[in-house]
Amino acid sequence: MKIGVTGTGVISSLGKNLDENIKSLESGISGITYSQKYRLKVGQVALSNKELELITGLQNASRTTLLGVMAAQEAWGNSKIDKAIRTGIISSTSVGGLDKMEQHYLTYLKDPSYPIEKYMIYENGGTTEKIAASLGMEGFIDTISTACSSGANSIMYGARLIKAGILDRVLVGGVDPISTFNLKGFSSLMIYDQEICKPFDKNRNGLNMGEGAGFILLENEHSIARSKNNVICEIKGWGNATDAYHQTASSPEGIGATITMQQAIRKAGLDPEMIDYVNMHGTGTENNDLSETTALRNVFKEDLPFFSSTKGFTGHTLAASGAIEAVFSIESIRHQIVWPNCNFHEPFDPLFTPVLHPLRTEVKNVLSNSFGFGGNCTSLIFSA
Amino acid sequence: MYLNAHSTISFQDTFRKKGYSASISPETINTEPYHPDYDQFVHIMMRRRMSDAMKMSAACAKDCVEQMKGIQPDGIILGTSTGSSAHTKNFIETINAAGDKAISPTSFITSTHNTIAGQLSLLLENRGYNITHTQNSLSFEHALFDAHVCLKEGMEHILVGSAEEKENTLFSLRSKIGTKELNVSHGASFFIVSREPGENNACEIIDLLCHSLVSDPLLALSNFLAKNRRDPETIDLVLYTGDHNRKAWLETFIADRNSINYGKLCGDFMTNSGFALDMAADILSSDENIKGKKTDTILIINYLDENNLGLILLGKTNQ
Repeated sequence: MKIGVTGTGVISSLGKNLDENIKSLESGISGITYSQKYRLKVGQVALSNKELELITGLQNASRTTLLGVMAAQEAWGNSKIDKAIRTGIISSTSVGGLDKMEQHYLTYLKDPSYPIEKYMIYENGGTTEKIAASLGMEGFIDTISTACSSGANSIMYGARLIKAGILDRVLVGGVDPISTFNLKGFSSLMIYDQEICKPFDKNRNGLNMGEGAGFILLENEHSIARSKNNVICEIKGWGNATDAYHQTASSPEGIGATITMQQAIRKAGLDPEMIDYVNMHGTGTENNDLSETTALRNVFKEDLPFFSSTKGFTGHTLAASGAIEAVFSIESIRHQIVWPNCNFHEPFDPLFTPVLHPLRTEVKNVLSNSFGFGGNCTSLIFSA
Repeated sequence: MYLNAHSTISFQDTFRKKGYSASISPETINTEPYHPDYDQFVHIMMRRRMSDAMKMSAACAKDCVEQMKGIQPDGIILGTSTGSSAHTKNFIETINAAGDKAISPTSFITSTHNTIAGQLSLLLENRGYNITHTQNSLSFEHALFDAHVCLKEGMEHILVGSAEEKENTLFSLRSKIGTKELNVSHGASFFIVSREPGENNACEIIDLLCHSLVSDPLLALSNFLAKNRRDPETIDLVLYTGDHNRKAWLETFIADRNSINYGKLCGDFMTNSGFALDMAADILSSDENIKGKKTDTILIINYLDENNLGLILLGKTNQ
């Protein structure tokens, strides 16, 4: 059975909607800028919470909810709630309500009489409920949280639910705002680049954080017949496995990544040589980029497809990354363009030279990778 | 979906105590979990940095694997609401205390919601499917649902569980539910669900429902039973939570049949329906009569949060 992608929505440092994001990718200009507040280079969405509240009509919401509603509503488009279409929503986030919580908690640390319990009501699942409510949905509402592979896992789970005949239509994606917690966390691991990150570069120095949300609408044929939505492409393959090597580092042999890419290719009924473009996880860290390219060689041998990481544009958007990059992968098919890997100067191995300028070429099958803490690896395949 | 192994650590003496369901009551509830000797399950050096929830999960997960003679599950799926809240809190405090100085990453590394599932994969050397669901009071039901999909796809065995930390200042259940009647506790429950009944099969999980933002819970319940061609009369026992929400539909439903409030047995936390499933498995596999009635079919109603309805229908295998 075919699972169609019929809607895409995205908000990131490249722009507040799909059009703006695609224009930025085509222009080759990164959305990562220096933040006075955080004293680091970050990929921020250029809208404050107040501005997002005005656009969405929500009040006092976590930034996670606000960003999520923007992208989810864009992907949902003109779709309607329909009793004859079994519908669900699966989002993902690692921050959830932590952005508000960390502010309140710091106050509580200074003043133990502060009624902290009153503010501890924002959790990951709650943000998805609010996104669902904004679309008038009830029922199958779920949230996945597997760090940096979360968004991709939401998409994979949605596809699996449709394939298993349980749901007809699922809105799937991921959200994460910038949080002091994560900025300090990645800095403490000594993997934060003070300059704009350089994925796959010989002199790469780590990642930059980004924020945003990405959502896609998946529908089976029954749902498409009723909704009459246009099909952009299909989601054809997926795979998830665990590296089982270390809590934060990926195995140098790229075991988890190799397994998931092969699983996804097999699931899609394809051969490796039929993959036209790989949107890499490519965070710009020493460890990931080495591990992931090793896995690429394991799967494709010396016959590598075009590949790039778009994290030099958006930063690493954590739980949102798998979803935002899925949107970019889908748009790669729609526009027949391979997105560039910006900020690249020198390869560490000549075999691993990513695409450096937007490349107009035939794009039929795109593979998208996302890897997270806990050794969690996920790969998705979108096809024309 | 066949439940072939189960293990729970809770505020009752439940770990490796077959038949415990006959001897526990609201009066026997403890104020702490009954912790087993963790030495058998996790090396002391590894335990040093583990949260309570992680230790409990490791013991229950290993116990399940042992019950199935050391099989390697095809996947590990966890449902948790609070995730790794103690380490999250710890890292916030670390950031606050450090000012501009360098920060130790230790608690950041294990602060993600999927820490437990990830660490279980390392502990069991498992490279299979690995996912963590976090959907408030339905976190466990969603994990179980995902396991059901895995088995439908052809996987043989899935290790699925729930784990929650005790954390009174963060993610407090009281602040969400807003009532003084709750007795905040925590615990972990793990299961191996399979496509076929195994040697130590406890029961069959017949159907599941995860319904968030439920506008008509009675209708959702009726539709669920109708879909499974079950007259409410054929339900021998209802394990429920949610009477603190004071809704007539639930009060009426439980008044009409054999019912036990599982929240009063294990305490209240977002994923305590994991405890309910373990207890139901214990009842069905011990072949007990509850309140003098033969028990072949059990319905678990999770109405902990009045916004969400979780239902699990179980029966003796080969009914």
